[in-house]
Amino acid sequence: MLTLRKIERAFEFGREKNYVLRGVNLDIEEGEFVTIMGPSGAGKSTLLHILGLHDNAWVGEYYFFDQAAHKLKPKDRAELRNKNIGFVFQSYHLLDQLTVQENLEVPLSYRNYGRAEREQLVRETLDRFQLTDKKHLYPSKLSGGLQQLIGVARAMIARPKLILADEPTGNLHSAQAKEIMEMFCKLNEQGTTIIQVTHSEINAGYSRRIVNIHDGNVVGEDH
Amino acid sequence: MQTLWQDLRYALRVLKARPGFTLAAVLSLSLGIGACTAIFSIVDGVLLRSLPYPQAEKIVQLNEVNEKGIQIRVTEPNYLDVRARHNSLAAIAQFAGGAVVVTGGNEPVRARAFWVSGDYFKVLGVQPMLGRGFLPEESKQGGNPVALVSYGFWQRVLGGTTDFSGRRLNVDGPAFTVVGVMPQGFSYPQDADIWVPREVEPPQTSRTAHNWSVIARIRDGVTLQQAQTDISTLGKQLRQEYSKGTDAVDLALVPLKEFLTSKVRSGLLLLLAAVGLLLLVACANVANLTLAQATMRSSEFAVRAALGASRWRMARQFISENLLLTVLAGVLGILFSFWGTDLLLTLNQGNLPRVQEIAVNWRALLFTLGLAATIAVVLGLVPVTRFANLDLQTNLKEAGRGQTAGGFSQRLRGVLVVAQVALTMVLLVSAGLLGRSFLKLMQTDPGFHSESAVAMTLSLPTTIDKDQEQRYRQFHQQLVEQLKQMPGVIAAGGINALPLTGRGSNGRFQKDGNPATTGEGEYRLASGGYFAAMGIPILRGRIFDERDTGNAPDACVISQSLAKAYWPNEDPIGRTIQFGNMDGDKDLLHIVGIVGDVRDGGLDAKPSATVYAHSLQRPQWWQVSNQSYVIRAQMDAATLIPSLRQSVQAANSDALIRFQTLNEVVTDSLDSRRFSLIIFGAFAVVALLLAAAGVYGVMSYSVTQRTHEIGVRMALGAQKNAVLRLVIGQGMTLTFVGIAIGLVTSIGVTRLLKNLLYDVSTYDPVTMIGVALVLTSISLAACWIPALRATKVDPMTALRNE
Ligand SMILES: Nc1ncnc2c1ncn2[C@@H]1O[C@H](COP(=O)(O)OP(=O)(O)OP(=O)(O)O)[C@@H](O)[C@H]1O
Ligand SMILES: [Mg+2]
Repeated sequence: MLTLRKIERAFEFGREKNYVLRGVNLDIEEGEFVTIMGPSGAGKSTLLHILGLHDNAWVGEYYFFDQAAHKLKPKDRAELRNKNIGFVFQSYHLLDQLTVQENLEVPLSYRNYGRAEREQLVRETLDRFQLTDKKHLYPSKLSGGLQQLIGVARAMIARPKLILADEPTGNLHSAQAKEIMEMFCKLNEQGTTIIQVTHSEINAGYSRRIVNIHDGNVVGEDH
Repeated sequence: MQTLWQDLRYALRVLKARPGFTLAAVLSLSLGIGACTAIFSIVDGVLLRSLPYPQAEKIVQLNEVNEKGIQIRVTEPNYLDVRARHNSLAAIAQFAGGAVVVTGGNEPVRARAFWVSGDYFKVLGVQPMLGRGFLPEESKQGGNPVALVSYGFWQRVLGGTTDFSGRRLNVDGPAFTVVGVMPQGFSYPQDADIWVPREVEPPQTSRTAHNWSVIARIRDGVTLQQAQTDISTLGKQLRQEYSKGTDAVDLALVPLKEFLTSKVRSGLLLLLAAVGLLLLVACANVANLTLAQATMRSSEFAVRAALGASRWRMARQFISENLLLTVLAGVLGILFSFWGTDLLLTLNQGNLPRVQEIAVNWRALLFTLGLAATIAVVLGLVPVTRFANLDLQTNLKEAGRGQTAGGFSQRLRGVLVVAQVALTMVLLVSAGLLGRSFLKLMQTDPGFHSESAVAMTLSLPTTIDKDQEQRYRQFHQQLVEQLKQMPGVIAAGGINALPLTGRGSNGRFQKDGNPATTGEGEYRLASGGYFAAMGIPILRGRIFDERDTGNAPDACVISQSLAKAYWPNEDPIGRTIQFGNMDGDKDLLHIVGIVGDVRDGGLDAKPSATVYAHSLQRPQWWQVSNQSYVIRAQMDAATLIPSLRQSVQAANSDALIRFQTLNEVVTDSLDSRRFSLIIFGAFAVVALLLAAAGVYGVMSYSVTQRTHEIGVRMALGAQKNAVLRLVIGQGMTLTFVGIAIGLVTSIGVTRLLKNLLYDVSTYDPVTMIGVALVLTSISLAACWIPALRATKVDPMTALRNE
């Protein structure tokens, strides 16, 4: 599904170039549940942003199925992302001024969905995540676990093939973390490919493959 | 005291450290304050301050009231009767006069001379500064002709010499000996230069010739109301005694200040209201800037609070900063106001009474000071509301995160922008309505063709006697013939008062020689060529020609509306008019033709019913001052001016000449409208700029605050257009709410403008829609830059703070 070849990413500090990723090669099959691990500053988030097609300033080859993402124009990359990828963030990044229901609707509003279709998807998703009774509440009134649950719901409401999650449980208690991980497993069973970044061995245990990153390089894999 | 000083010093440093904010705030405020002070100075000088005479509230204008209830000037016999019979006045005086050419100074000059009766200066309570006033024996028929002159005239024409005993002025009559100079600043009526005793000339006897203005001083111990009752009783008596022999059914006393300013009162108050709106818009701008500052400085204040500063102590910091701001703005504003007042007065030449009393003085400065202080306190309190609503804990936390929710102040800023847009809308609608009226007036047919024609107005120095009268006839006739011969000239003719200049006379005439059937109309003396030169169409009959010599029966031409009004179903040609009221010549005027109507009284007035008599057949004293010639040319008429000047000067070197193209005559008549239009327009444009700055400020601040949200939305799939829509949508929502409120307010408020409008309804949809579109597009432009900036948000950076 994803093929990365010799991905390099550098940040410029004045005249100096600081390489964060130095030629990453990585293959991920459809239906996998992958954990990326590594020490702080290793470049995990950077890699995830590249995978998520947020970042445009890298070099190398990136095939998404058979599309060469590295050759796409920014606009087409955005299209590719919107069609295929959902995100879950460490600090949830729910929009405070919007209700739960409205938060779920945000990704749909940026894709081509009709009004009726949108409403139905929101209704189904609320149902599926058992959030229907919370739909009119504002996120700040909810527990962190619930907020992240909404984050996950929002990530997959537009039916992406791939979900990217950067330390999705970093701000949660272990019980809440467990819930999120179980949700990931369930989604993965239903066919969604999942790539998460985490420092937690326990969380990593839910996945079937672990990619270790050190100093901008993939240094090994555990299966 | 110590802390206040410290506050101010710190405030100065803060303002210096934020030059952009300081500049924007000081500029906005000083514009508002300057405009307010300038308009206030004018309102104060014209409407508020009492007239510059002792016990000025006792001075009144006396008018006749005609059957229609309209106040008109007074006839001399009525004046003399009032003077003899009243029980309530300390003094009463009549005066009349106007522009004349005066010789006897260094060279012939145009001056405003007035015939005044003996008690004139007693009514006003003013004494000459140099020399003496009129002696009783000078204020009677056959008395020695003497004159008093204004300080300005004395300086300008008499060279400021204290020995003017030998100076004689030839002012339309005998040579007058100058006996005194009035104090500086005294000039009543407006711009008067010379006063001479009215009594040296024989009295007038007509009770329907309204030639005199009458002023009086109410006796001490008598109230205005008592005096009014006394005079009104007298007026009714006169009516009983003379019935239709007098036009007055009543007499009215009006406080002089009110009489002088009533015409401009509502207009000036509207300007004051408009400038008030402008100031509010400016204040909203600064409040907005201040709020943004307060939010940005949350961390500073959080730290201060953590170190133990009380809320009041922090409020004081803001108030001292604002005090400093408004003081700066006030100083700059006063400079603006000096300049603005001058500009306004230049723009408004001749349309305001009491102009010589207008100045930015201590009253205006006090007004500004009060204004600035109020603004400082209010603006200083605005950010305090912020601290009152957020506990400091959150402030510290938010400050630490480098961003604040600041929902309350953000909402307040939104409200301010809405208010700005609404107020601007009101100003724009007002300006738009005035502009549309102005355009409609420009398109109104004045009744003559104003293209390719120039008007030349001559003032001649002289006294009239039989011989002189004959010489005048010849001079006029020859001049007109000469003008017609000039290369490029198509037609030329003379008239004693040009249309739209407000100079002509009007009155009551007898129809068909029957004293019982009368009519009212304008009276003009014209030569035959006048109508062709003006392009006034001949509708029936003929105009003056060689048949109408001095010996032939007097001919006249009437305007269409006069024909319709007084001979509705008959042919007026061959009928007669007796208009002795106008020039003392009771010979019948025989109607020989009907010409098109001219809007003599103004483009916004109904066409005037006019009687044109032939200038070669009627008495000549009419033609001494301000006789005009209209010359129509094949090309641009202005190119004729040098050769015209030459030929007149060759014929009479003492003539004072003034040129205006007919287009200028038309546009000059719109001066006071143009004045209101320019002021409203300028205020509206400034308000628009301030409102645009307000929208821009709020939106760019909002984008900064929403960086994170925008980043999230982008991460969730929002593309460039969606982000643009998000920001612009927010800005435009504020704008549309403002426009809606402004629209409703405008509909309520523009009724006040009604008197200034012409052929435009106060809720003219074209103006409303046009203004809404202008506001929308300006606001759109103001949102555009922040919106573009929002699309440059990098979701990676925005989301990195985990
Ligand atoms: N936008 C940026 N500008 C400059 N440097 C950056 C930027 N983003 C990341 N870096 C640098 O790149 C390096 C890798 O950052 P990255 O966030 O990918 O690490 P990480 O592996 O996710 O670490 P952590 O476990 O702490 O989240 C760090 O040294 C970081 O400072
Ligand atoms: Mg990271």
